[in-house]
Amino acid sequence: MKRNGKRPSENADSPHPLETLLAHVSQESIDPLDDANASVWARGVRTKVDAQLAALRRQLNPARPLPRRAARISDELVSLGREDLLARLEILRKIPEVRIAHLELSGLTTDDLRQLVAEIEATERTQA
Amino acid sequence: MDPDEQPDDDPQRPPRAPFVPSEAWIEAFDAQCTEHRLKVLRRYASSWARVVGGDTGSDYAEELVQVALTDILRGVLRWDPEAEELEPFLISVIRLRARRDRKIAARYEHVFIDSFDPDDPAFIELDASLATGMGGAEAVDPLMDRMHTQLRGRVADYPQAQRFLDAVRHGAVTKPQIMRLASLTHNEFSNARRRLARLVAQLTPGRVPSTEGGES
Repeated sequence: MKRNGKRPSENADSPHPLETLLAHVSQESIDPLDDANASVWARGVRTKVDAQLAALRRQLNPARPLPRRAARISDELVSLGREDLLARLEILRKIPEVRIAHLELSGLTTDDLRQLVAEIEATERTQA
Repeated sequence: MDPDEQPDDDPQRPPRAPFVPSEAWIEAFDAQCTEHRLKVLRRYASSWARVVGGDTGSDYAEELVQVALTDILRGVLRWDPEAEELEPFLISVIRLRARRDRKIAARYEHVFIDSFDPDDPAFIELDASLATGMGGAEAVDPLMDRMHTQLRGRVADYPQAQRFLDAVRHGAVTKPQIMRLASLTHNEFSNARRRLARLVAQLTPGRVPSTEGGES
């Protein structure tokens, strides 16, 4: 038994012989009626224990926010080429709320540009 | 049983760190807290309360088990699954709390059994008992000595049961220890244990059955 770092030795915590006997005879079920009552009681206790264990598990693994999914790229954006995407980004860049972290867009691939436009437009739709 | 049923509403009390057991601890508790083991614990608490405490109802025994479980799940009592299995740990807790309750009952007219408050002097006394192994034994040992002796007299015709009792009297605790000290086979151990269980079921405080007619 341990609490605050204390744990008695097996010798120090010795049960009385009658208590040892009671622990052993408790393994035996000799009264069918009492055993039936005990089964009902044990099921009830176990149900409460399940609820407490579930709470401990939730405490250990609190629900995390789902990872944000990338914005869906529309068919229209798929059909646009690099120049069209850059032109679209220029239009979006003029919107006051839009800030683009990339200073040099030439370093981005066409797919990157497409994803960037999709993300900005999705954010705009959410905030509208 | 619900921890939320008894909020800590004492503003003077410093907040206690929340009990956050590991996943392995939770899995071990989940696996070992079976309905079968709960029934064993209920039988143990019930027989202790009846034989030593004179309580013939099941409410007290059930409460002893439930409060012990709750205190472990709340972290009030710390169970280490790597050091000990849940059942013997709970039996120790039930035994020491039953002793404490009987000691208090002998001192006062009424005993209230409730979920333990770690700051309660009674709990501190129990905790000290758990730490030192004293367990208030002085209050109940003479009665248990007498009952153990009387029980031995009741199995005079059953040498294996007598040897079982003698082995326990000489400090054997576990099944292997009893089997070795009493020179019992597995079958002899089981039969003796069953015979003793029937006798114990008839025990009341300070009295053992006068005949074996009640046994089945």
